[in-house]
Amino acid sequence: MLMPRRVKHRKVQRGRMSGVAKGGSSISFGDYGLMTEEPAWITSRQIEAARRAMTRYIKRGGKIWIRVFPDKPVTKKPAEVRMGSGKGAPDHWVAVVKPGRILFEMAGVPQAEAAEAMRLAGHKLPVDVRFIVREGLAEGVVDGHR
Amino acid sequence: MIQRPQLPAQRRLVSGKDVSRLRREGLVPAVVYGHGEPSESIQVDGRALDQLRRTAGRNAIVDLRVDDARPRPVLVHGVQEHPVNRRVLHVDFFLVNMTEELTVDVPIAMTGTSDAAERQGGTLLHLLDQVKVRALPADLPQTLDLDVTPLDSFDAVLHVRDIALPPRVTLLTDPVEPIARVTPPRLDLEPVTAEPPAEGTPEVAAAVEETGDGSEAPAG
Repeated sequence: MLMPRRVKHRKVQRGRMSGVAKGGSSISFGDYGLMTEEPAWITSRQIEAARRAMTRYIKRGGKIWIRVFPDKPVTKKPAEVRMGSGKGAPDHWVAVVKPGRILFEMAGVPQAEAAEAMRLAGHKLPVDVRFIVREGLAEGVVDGHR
Repeated sequence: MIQRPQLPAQRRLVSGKDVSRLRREGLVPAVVYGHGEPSESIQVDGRALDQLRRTAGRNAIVDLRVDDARPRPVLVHGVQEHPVNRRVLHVDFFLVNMTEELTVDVPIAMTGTSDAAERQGGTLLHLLDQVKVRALPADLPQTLDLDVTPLDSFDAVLHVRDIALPPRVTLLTDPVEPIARVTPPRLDLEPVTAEPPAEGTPEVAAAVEETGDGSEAPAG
Protein backbone atom coordinates (compact mmCIF):
# COMPACT_ATOMS: atom_id res chain seq x y z
CA MET A 1 0.00 0.00 0.00
CA LEU A 2 1.11 3.55 -0.64
CA MET A 3 2.52 5.56 2.25
CA PRO A 4 5.27 8.16 2.69
CA ARG A 5 8.73 6.89 3.62
CA ARG A 6 9.23 9.60 6.21
CA VAL A 7 7.34 12.71 7.22
CA LYS A 8 8.06 16.01 8.88
CA HIS A 9 5.22 15.64 11.39
CA ARG A 10 3.67 12.37 12.56
CA LYS A 11 0.27 13.89 13.26
CA VAL A 12 -1.51 16.66 11.36
CA GLN A 13 -4.76 18.55 11.80
CA ARG A 14 -7.81 17.55 9.79
CA GLY A 15 -8.18 20.58 7.55
CA ARG A 16 -11.05 21.49 5.20
CA MET A 17 -12.06 20.19 1.79
CA SER A 18 -13.98 23.12 0.32
CA GLY A 19 -13.82 24.07 -3.33
CA VAL A 20 -12.72 22.16 -6.40
CA ALA A 21 -9.41 20.67 -7.47
CA LYS A 22 -6.77 23.25 -8.29
CA GLY A 23 -4.42 20.86 -10.01
CA GLY A 24 -4.32 17.28 -11.21
CA SER A 25 -7.65 17.81 -12.96
CA SER A 26 -6.61 16.89 -16.50
CA ILE A 27 -5.40 13.66 -18.03
CA SER A 28 -1.62 13.86 -18.23
CA PHE A 29 -0.23 10.39 -18.92
CA GLY A 30 -2.81 7.97 -20.29
CA ASP A 31 -5.83 8.05 -22.56
CA TYR A 32 -8.58 7.56 -19.98
CA GLY A 33 -9.08 8.85 -16.47
CA LEU A 34 -11.23 8.38 -13.40
CA MET A 35 -12.29 11.69 -11.90
CA THR A 36 -13.84 12.24 -8.49
CA GLU A 37 -16.99 14.35 -8.31
CA GLU A 38 -16.91 14.71 -4.52
CA PRO A 39 -14.40 15.81 -1.91
CA ALA A 40 -13.14 12.97 0.28
CA TRP A 41 -10.32 11.34 2.17
CA ILE A 42 -9.30 8.28 0.17
CA THR A 43 -7.34 5.77 2.20
CA SER A 44 -4.34 3.88 0.93
CA ARG A 45 -6.36 0.65 1.21
CA GLN A 46 -9.08 2.04 -1.03
CA ILE A 47 -6.50 3.16 -3.59
CA GLU A 48 -4.91 -0.28 -3.55
CA ALA A 49 -8.30 -2.03 -3.84
CA ALA A 50 -9.26 0.15 -6.81
CA ARG A 51 -5.89 -0.46 -8.47
CA ARG A 52 -6.27 -4.23 -8.04
CA ALA A 53 -9.81 -4.17 -9.45
CA MET A 54 -8.56 -2.38 -12.57
CA THR A 55 -5.44 -4.51 -12.95
CA ARG A 56 -7.43 -7.74 -12.69
CA TYR A 57 -9.96 -6.62 -15.26
CA ILE A 58 -7.51 -5.48 -17.91
CA LYS A 59 -5.35 -8.60 -17.34
CA ARG A 60 -2.04 -8.34 -19.19
CA GLY A 61 -2.66 -5.31 -21.36
CA GLY A 62 -2.56 -1.65 -20.64
CA LYS A 63 -0.85 0.59 -18.15
CA ILE A 64 -2.26 2.27 -15.06
CA TRP A 65 -1.16 5.46 -13.36
CA ILE A 66 -2.17 6.39 -9.80
CA ARG A 67 -2.51 10.17 -9.66
CA VAL A 68 -3.10 10.57 -5.92
CA PHE A 69 -0.81 9.76 -3.02
CA PRO A 70 -1.97 9.21 0.57
CA ASP A 71 0.36 11.57 2.41
CA LYS A 72 -1.93 12.65 5.25
CA PRO A 73 -1.75 10.63 8.49
CA VAL A 74 -5.01 9.87 10.29
CA THR A 75 -4.88 9.08 13.99
CA LYS A 76 -7.14 6.88 16.02
CA LYS A 77 -7.57 6.27 19.72
CA PRO A 78 -7.58 2.65 20.89
CA ALA A 79 -10.94 0.99 21.53
CA GLU A 80 -12.63 1.56 24.90
CA VAL A 81 -10.39 4.40 25.97
CA ARG A 82 -11.79 7.41 27.81
CA MET A 83 -11.60 10.76 26.09
CA GLY A 84 -8.65 12.99 26.83
CA SER A 85 -5.00 12.08 27.32
CA GLY A 86 -4.00 13.61 24.02
CA LYS A 87 -4.31 12.72 20.37
CA GLY A 88 -4.37 9.07 19.33
CA ALA A 89 -1.69 7.16 17.48
CA PRO A 90 -1.27 7.33 13.68
CA ASP A 91 -3.50 4.65 12.18
CA HIS A 92 -3.61 4.99 8.41
CA TRP A 93 -2.90 7.30 5.49
CA VAL A 94 -5.31 9.20 3.28
CA ALA A 95 -5.17 11.29 0.12
CA VAL A 96 -7.31 14.42 0.28
CA VAL A 97 -9.16 14.86 -3.01
CA LYS A 98 -11.53 17.55 -4.21
CA PRO A 99 -14.06 17.43 -7.07
CA GLY A 100 -12.35 17.34 -10.46
CA ARG A 101 -9.25 15.49 -9.31
CA ILE A 102 -8.08 12.65 -11.56
CA LEU A 103 -7.51 9.57 -9.39
CA PHE A 104 -6.32 7.03 -11.95
CA GLU A 105 -5.28 7.02 -15.59
CA MET A 106 -5.10 4.18 -18.05
CA ALA A 107 -3.70 3.58 -21.54
CA GLY A 108 -3.26 0.74 -23.98
CA VAL A 109 -6.74 -0.78 -23.75
CA PRO A 110 -9.94 -0.19 -25.76
CA GLN A 111 -12.23 2.49 -24.38
CA ALA A 112 -15.01 0.07 -23.41
CA GLU A 113 -12.56 -2.07 -21.46
CA ALA A 114 -11.09 0.96 -19.70
CA ALA A 115 -14.57 2.22 -18.81
CA GLU A 116 -15.56 -1.12 -17.31
CA ALA A 117 -12.26 -1.45 -15.39
CA MET A 118 -12.72 2.03 -13.98
CA ARG A 119 -16.36 1.35 -13.13
CA LEU A 120 -15.21 -1.59 -11.04
CA ALA A 121 -12.52 0.58 -9.44
CA GLY A 122 -15.13 3.23 -8.67
CA HIS A 123 -16.99 0.73 -6.49
CA LYS A 124 -13.93 0.53 -4.23
CA LEU A 125 -13.87 4.28 -3.64
CA PRO A 126 -15.89 6.40 -1.19
CA VAL A 127 -16.83 8.96 -3.86
CA ASP A 128 -18.92 9.39 -6.99
CA VAL A 129 -16.59 9.10 -9.94
CA ARG A 130 -16.75 9.85 -13.64
CA PHE A 131 -14.92 8.19 -16.51
CA ILE A 132 -13.27 10.72 -18.79
CA VAL A 133 -11.37 10.48 -22.05
CA ARG A 134 -8.34 12.50 -23.15
CA GLU A 135 -9.27 15.47 -25.32
CA GLY A 136 -7.42 14.25 -28.41
CA LEU A 137 -9.32 10.97 -28.46
CA ALA A 138 -12.49 12.81 -29.46
CA GLU A 139 -15.13 10.62 -27.82
CA GLY A 140 -15.44 13.08 -24.96
CA VAL A 141 -16.88 12.67 -21.52
CA VAL A 142 -18.77 9.49 -20.86
CA ASP A 143 -21.38 9.32 -18.14
CA GLY A 144 -20.04 8.38 -14.77
CA HIS A 145 -20.83 5.55 -12.44
CA ARG A 146 -20.93 5.17 -8.76
CA MET B 1 -7.48 35.42 -49.56
CA ILE B 2 -8.07 32.44 -47.27
CA GLN B 3 -11.45 32.43 -45.55
CA ARG B 4 -10.93 32.24 -41.81
CA PRO B 5 -13.55 31.17 -39.25
CA GLN B 6 -15.47 34.10 -37.82
CA LEU B 7 -16.35 34.68 -34.17
CA PRO B 8 -18.60 37.54 -33.14
CA ALA B 9 -18.00 39.11 -29.72
CA GLN B 10 -19.29 41.98 -27.65
CA ARG B 11 -17.48 44.41 -25.43
CA ARG B 12 -17.79 43.31 -21.79
CA LEU B 13 -18.64 45.79 -19.08
CA VAL B 14 -18.92 43.42 -16.13
CA SER B 15 -15.89 41.99 -14.42
CA GLY B 16 -14.96 40.15 -11.24
CA LYS B 17 -17.52 37.89 -9.63
CA ASP B 18 -20.34 39.36 -11.75
CA VAL B 19 -19.13 37.37 -14.78
CA SER B 20 -20.79 34.28 -13.29
CA ARG B 21 -24.09 35.90 -14.36
CA LEU B 22 -22.78 36.00 -17.93
CA ARG B 23 -21.95 32.30 -17.77
CA ARG B 24 -25.48 31.52 -16.60
CA GLU B 25 -26.76 33.36 -19.68
CA GLY B 26 -24.65 31.18 -21.97
CA LEU B 27 -21.90 33.73 -22.57
CA VAL B 28 -18.21 33.15 -22.00
CA PRO B 29 -16.05 35.99 -20.64
CA ALA B 30 -12.89 36.51 -22.64
CA VAL B 31 -10.05 38.93 -23.11
CA VAL B 32 -8.21 40.01 -26.25
CA TYR B 33 -4.66 41.38 -26.16
CA GLY B 34 -1.34 41.39 -27.96
CA HIS B 35 1.04 43.50 -30.02
CA GLY B 36 1.08 46.43 -27.65
CA GLU B 37 -2.66 46.99 -27.89
CA PRO B 38 -4.45 47.53 -24.58
CA SER B 39 -6.16 44.49 -23.16
CA GLU B 40 -9.88 44.48 -23.91
CA SER B 41 -12.56 42.60 -21.97
CA ILE B 42 -15.07 40.90 -24.26
CA GLN B 43 -17.73 38.21 -24.14
CA VAL B 44 -18.52 35.56 -26.73
CA ASP B 45 -21.43 33.21 -27.23
CA GLY B 46 -20.71 29.86 -25.56
CA ARG B 47 -22.26 27.77 -28.34
CA ALA B 48 -20.40 29.60 -31.08
CA LEU B 49 -17.16 29.14 -29.19
CA ASP B 50 -17.78 25.39 -28.67
CA GLN B 51 -18.58 24.99 -32.35
CA LEU B 52 -15.41 26.88 -33.28
CA ARG B 53 -13.22 24.77 -30.99
CA ARG B 54 -14.65 21.56 -32.41
CA THR B 55 -14.28 22.47 -36.05
CA ALA B 56 -11.37 24.88 -36.39
CA GLY B 57 -8.66 23.15 -34.36
CA ARG B 58 -6.51 24.36 -31.54
CA ASN B 59 -4.19 26.68 -33.48
CA ALA B 60 -6.62 28.08 -36.00
CA ILE B 61 -6.46 31.79 -36.73
CA VAL B 62 -9.91 33.24 -36.14
CA ASP B 63 -11.41 36.53 -37.27
CA LEU B 64 -12.73 38.13 -34.10
CA ARG B 65 -15.26 40.89 -34.62
CA VAL B 66 -15.94 42.89 -31.45
CA ASP B 67 -19.31 44.67 -31.83
CA ASP B 68 -19.14 46.49 -35.18
CA ALA B 69 -15.39 46.94 -35.39
CA ARG B 70 -13.45 45.41 -38.27
CA PRO B 71 -12.51 41.73 -37.78
CA ARG B 72 -9.06 41.12 -36.33
CA PRO B 73 -7.08 37.87 -36.63
CA VAL B 74 -6.62 36.20 -33.24
CA LEU B 75 -5.31 32.95 -31.87
CA VAL B 76 -7.10 31.12 -29.06
CA HIS B 77 -4.27 31.44 -26.59
CA GLY B 78 -5.59 30.00 -23.36
CA VAL B 79 -8.81 28.30 -22.36
CA GLN B 80 -9.77 27.92 -18.70
CA GLU B 81 -12.12 25.03 -18.01
CA HIS B 82 -14.09 24.10 -14.91
CA PRO B 83 -12.39 21.07 -13.39
CA VAL B 84 -15.62 19.16 -12.79
CA ASN B 85 -18.13 19.98 -15.52
CA ARG B 86 -15.44 20.91 -18.08
CA ARG B 87 -17.32 23.99 -19.24
CA VAL B 88 -15.25 26.84 -20.61
CA LEU B 89 -14.84 29.54 -17.95
CA HIS B 90 -12.68 32.06 -19.76
CA VAL B 91 -10.77 32.44 -23.02
CA ASP B 92 -7.69 34.45 -23.94
CA PHE B 93 -7.51 35.67 -27.54
CA PHE B 94 -4.08 36.75 -28.76
CA LEU B 95 -3.97 39.34 -31.54
CA VAL B 96 -1.93 38.03 -34.44
CA ASN B 97 0.23 39.99 -36.84
CA MET B 98 0.10 37.93 -40.03
CA THR B 99 3.65 38.93 -40.99
CA GLU B 100 5.22 38.02 -37.66
CA GLU B 101 6.22 34.52 -36.56
CA LEU B 102 4.35 32.89 -33.67
CA THR B 103 5.41 30.26 -31.16
CA VAL B 104 2.65 27.76 -30.43
CA ASP B 105 2.18 24.25 -29.07
CA VAL B 106 1.02 21.86 -31.79
CA PRO B 107 -0.55 18.49 -30.87
CA ILE B 108 1.03 15.32 -32.23
CA ALA B 109 -1.21 12.88 -34.08
CA MET B 110 0.02 9.28 -34.09
CA THR B 111 -0.45 7.47 -37.41
CA GLY B 112 0.24 3.92 -38.50
CA THR B 113 0.41 0.86 -36.26
CA SER B 114 3.21 -0.30 -34.04
CA ASP B 115 4.11 -3.96 -34.33
CA ALA B 116 5.21 -4.10 -30.69
CA ALA B 117 1.86 -2.77 -29.53
CA GLU B 118 -0.41 -4.65 -31.93
CA ARG B 119 1.20 -8.10 -32.12
CA GLN B 120 3.41 -8.36 -29.06
CA GLY B 121 0.79 -7.01 -26.66
CA GLY B 122 2.67 -3.91 -25.55
CA THR B 123 1.18 -0.55 -24.61
CA LEU B 124 1.91 2.47 -26.79
CA LEU B 125 2.84 5.36 -24.52
CA HIS B 126 2.55 8.97 -25.62
CA LEU B 127 5.38 10.57 -23.69
CA LEU B 128 4.71 13.95 -25.27
CA ASP B 129 1.34 15.23 -26.48
CA GLN B 130 2.51 18.39 -28.18
CA VAL B 131 5.63 20.15 -29.39
CA LYS B 132 6.52 23.81 -29.59
CA VAL B 133 6.97 25.21 -33.08
CA ARG B 134 7.57 28.63 -34.58
CA ALA B 135 6.04 29.72 -37.87
CA LEU B 136 4.14 32.46 -39.61
CA PRO B 137 0.43 32.37 -38.73
CA ALA B 138 -0.47 31.23 -42.26
CA ASP B 139 1.95 28.28 -42.03
CA LEU B 140 0.95 27.07 -38.56
CA PRO B 141 0.06 23.35 -38.68
CA GLN B 142 -3.01 22.15 -36.77
CA THR B 143 -1.41 18.80 -35.96
CA LEU B 144 1.92 17.13 -36.65
CA ASP B 145 1.80 13.53 -37.83
CA LEU B 146 4.09 10.94 -36.33
CA ASP B 147 4.27 7.48 -37.86
CA VAL B 148 4.60 4.89 -35.08
CA THR B 149 5.38 1.99 -37.47
CA PRO B 150 9.12 2.07 -36.56
CA LEU B 151 8.16 1.03 -33.01
CA ASP B 152 8.59 -2.67 -33.76
CA SER B 153 10.31 -3.62 -30.49
CA PHE B 154 10.13 -2.63 -26.86
CA ASP B 155 13.54 -0.95 -27.11
CA ALA B 156 12.56 1.36 -29.96
CA VAL B 157 11.83 4.99 -29.07
CA LEU B 158 10.57 7.79 -31.29
CA HIS B 159 12.01 11.22 -30.62
CA VAL B 160 10.95 14.75 -31.48
CA ARG B 161 13.44 14.74 -34.38
CA ASP B 162 11.40 11.95 -36.03
CA ILE B 163 8.46 14.26 -36.69
CA ALA B 164 8.04 15.23 -40.34
CA LEU B 165 7.76 19.02 -40.26
CA PRO B 166 5.90 20.97 -42.94
CA PRO B 167 7.93 23.61 -44.79
CA ARG B 168 8.60 26.99 -43.14
CA VAL B 169 7.99 25.58 -39.65
CA THR B 170 10.78 25.61 -37.04
CA LEU B 171 10.81 23.10 -34.21
CA LEU B 172 11.65 24.57 -30.81
CA THR B 173 11.26 21.50 -28.58
CA ASP B 174 14.50 19.63 -27.87
CA PRO B 175 14.91 17.16 -30.79
CA VAL B 176 16.23 14.38 -28.56
CA GLU B 177 13.18 14.39 -26.31
CA PRO B 178 11.31 11.06 -26.54
CA ILE B 179 7.74 11.15 -27.88
CA ALA B 180 6.53 7.57 -28.00
CA ARG B 181 7.61 4.11 -27.01
CA VAL B 182 5.98 0.77 -26.32
CA THR B 183 6.14 -0.82 -22.88
CA PRO B 184 6.12 -4.61 -22.65
CA PRO B 185 2.97 -6.29 -21.31
CA ARG B 186 2.76 -6.87 -17.57
CA LEU B 187 3.72 -10.44 -16.79
CA ASP B 188 2.81 -10.49 -13.12
CA LEU B 189 -0.89 -9.99 -12.61
CA GLU B 190 -0.42 -9.06 -8.99
CA PRO B 191 2.75 -7.11 -8.29
CA VAL B 192 4.30 -7.87 -4.94
CA THR B 193 3.15 -5.31 -2.43
CA ALA B 194 3.78 -5.00 1.26
CA GLU B 195 1.44 -7.21 3.23
CA PRO B 196 -1.02 -5.12 5.19
CA PRO B 197 -0.35 -5.58 8.89
CA ALA B 198 -2.97 -7.10 11.14
CA GLU B 199 -5.75 -4.89 12.44
CA GLY B 200 -4.85 -2.71 15.34
CA THR B 201 -1.09 -2.85 14.96
CA PRO B 202 0.62 0.51 14.96
CA GLU B 203 1.73 0.12 11.34
CA VAL B 204 2.19 3.77 10.69
CA ALA B 205 4.25 4.50 13.77
CA ALA B 206 6.51 1.58 12.97
CA ALA B 207 6.84 2.19 9.24
CA VAL B 208 7.29 5.93 9.19
CA GLU B 209 10.10 7.77 10.77
CA GLU B 210 9.47 11.34 11.76
CA THR B 211 12.20 13.69 10.67
CA GLY B 212 12.98 16.33 13.21
CA ASP B 213 15.40 18.16 10.98
CA GLY B 214 12.78 19.94 8.92
CA SER B 215 13.46 17.94 5.79
CA GLU B 216 10.75 17.71 3.16
CA ALA B 217 8.12 15.01 3.35
CA PRO B 218 7.82 13.07 0.12
CA ALA B 219 5.43 14.71 -2.26
CA GLY B 220 2.38 12.92 -3.58
